[in-house]
Amino acid sequence: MAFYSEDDKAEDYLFKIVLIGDSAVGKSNLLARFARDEFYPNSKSTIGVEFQTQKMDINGKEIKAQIWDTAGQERFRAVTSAYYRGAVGALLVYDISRRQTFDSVGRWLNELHSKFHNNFC
Amino acid sequence: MIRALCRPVCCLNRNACNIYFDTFPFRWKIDFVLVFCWTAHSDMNVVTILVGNKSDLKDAREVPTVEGKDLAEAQGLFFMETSALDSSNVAAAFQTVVKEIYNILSRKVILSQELNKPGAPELGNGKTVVLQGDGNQEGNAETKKGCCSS
Repeated sequence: MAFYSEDDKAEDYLFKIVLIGDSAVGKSNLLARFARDEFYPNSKSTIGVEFQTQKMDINGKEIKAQIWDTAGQERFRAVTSAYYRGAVGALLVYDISRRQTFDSVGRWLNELHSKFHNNFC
Repeated sequence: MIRALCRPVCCLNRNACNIYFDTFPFRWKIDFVLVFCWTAHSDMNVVTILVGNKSDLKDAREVPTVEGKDLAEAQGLFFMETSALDSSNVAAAFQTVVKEIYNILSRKVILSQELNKPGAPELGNGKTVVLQGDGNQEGNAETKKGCCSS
């Protein structure tokens, strides 16, 4: 992430944003659609972590969003601390056609908060 | 509030926090903590949006829009329903988050500019911050219960 300083008026911004949510809610496809305008109807479970950097224009400023995507599946969830570190934004995704993914939102919020508190102190 | 904001300061230098609170007027205290939080990459709340995906699956819907909206409101999150399949709201969801982060950052930059005015305590661009306590304050600070001891 870049920060303001007296010497650097170029103001280059890079925001790390994480995608979280249950397995198969469409996190990877949201990222594929946003970053590459692609959609994979039969995509497989994400393994490990992927990220894409996307330039965006906000109020006339160029901002880079570095969007991280990982597996929602429990068995792949060992990477989480590194995954959340330094993130300033999150998309918590559920699937409107599967109630159980919506019911997990609270659990994901807890995870988000606990990871952030553990990161700093 | 102060307790929460103080956390990252303590991470970097536990005494700094205590000495600081003993030394500076209240106003500086708040500004300092905010700026330092940013430079420490830290304790701003993560800007979060709740995203109800697959909004194209109208017939299979199990979670009404209003439920997502209500939950987001209760938790202080942004909310949007998206479809990666038909592209609806996908860019908007990401933009909402990035825009809010940018707005928060802009507000904090204004605070840091205030601090960079002549006569303000010097903050070294996210590097070392030297805090001058007078005399035995440092000793006191060590025995005091710090803001981050909880």
